[in-house]
Amino acid sequence: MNVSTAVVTTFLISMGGSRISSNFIINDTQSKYYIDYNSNSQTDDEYLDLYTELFSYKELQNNWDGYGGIKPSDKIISTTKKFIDILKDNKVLKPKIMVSGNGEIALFWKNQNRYIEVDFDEAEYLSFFYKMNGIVYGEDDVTINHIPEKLYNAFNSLTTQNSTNPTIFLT
Amino acid sequence: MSYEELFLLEENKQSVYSPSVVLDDEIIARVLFSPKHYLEEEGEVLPPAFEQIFSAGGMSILRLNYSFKKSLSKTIKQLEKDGIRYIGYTSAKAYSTT
Repeated sequence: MNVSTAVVTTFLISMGGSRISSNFIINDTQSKYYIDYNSNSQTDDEYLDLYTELFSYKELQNNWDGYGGIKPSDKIISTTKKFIDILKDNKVLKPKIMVSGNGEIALFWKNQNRYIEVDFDEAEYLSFFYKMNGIVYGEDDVTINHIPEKLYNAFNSLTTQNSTNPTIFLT
Repeated sequence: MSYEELFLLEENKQSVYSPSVVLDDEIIARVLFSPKHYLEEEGEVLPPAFEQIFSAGGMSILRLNYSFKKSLSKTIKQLEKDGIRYIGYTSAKAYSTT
């Protein structure tokens, strides 16, 4: 029996939209962080907690995850912020954010059988991949100055397909 | 070491402390120590909770059939010494694709 196989399966399931929450026990409350932020629109308001969560990564300590995790570098946090600014300016609906034990930060959107992830592990660059209707596509080492065309199209395709619960749209 | 080689390793016990090879349908648990590893609103565990399997070539799990409560308690106490809080655990059924 391969434990790795089983865990990889779990990992893929969690990325693919299925939840494994039924066996999950929580007994914690999240810390609150304050950031200086000027809100000019509804989109800005929606992004506020995303920035708050991003900047909370600065407070992480070594071994923050109990498995030897390292904190994201200031450059990675700054790079992520720059791309979030671009998303916000383009009125992309707010993504969710996550941080991994190797100091990488990722933004992701998902609904039903669609998943888009943008990863930051190097200053001023991003990688992304998406899985939509069984099609997987990705690019590595793209500059963060703009939304890559394929990624932009992926965002837009979500608005053009019938969905009872869209989680991404551009206006 | 490739994943194929890692999978081969797991066909046999790798530690004298291991009770046995993990079997199909056995429940394994991943202990979480950071609120960054789950979405509270959705009650959903995030992929980075399992990222160690890729970065370290494997990851720590507990086995519900083998002194789970005792092992969990020991793990929690060890990490509490370093000021790390226990959040919870997520479990899944193991199965082989080979």
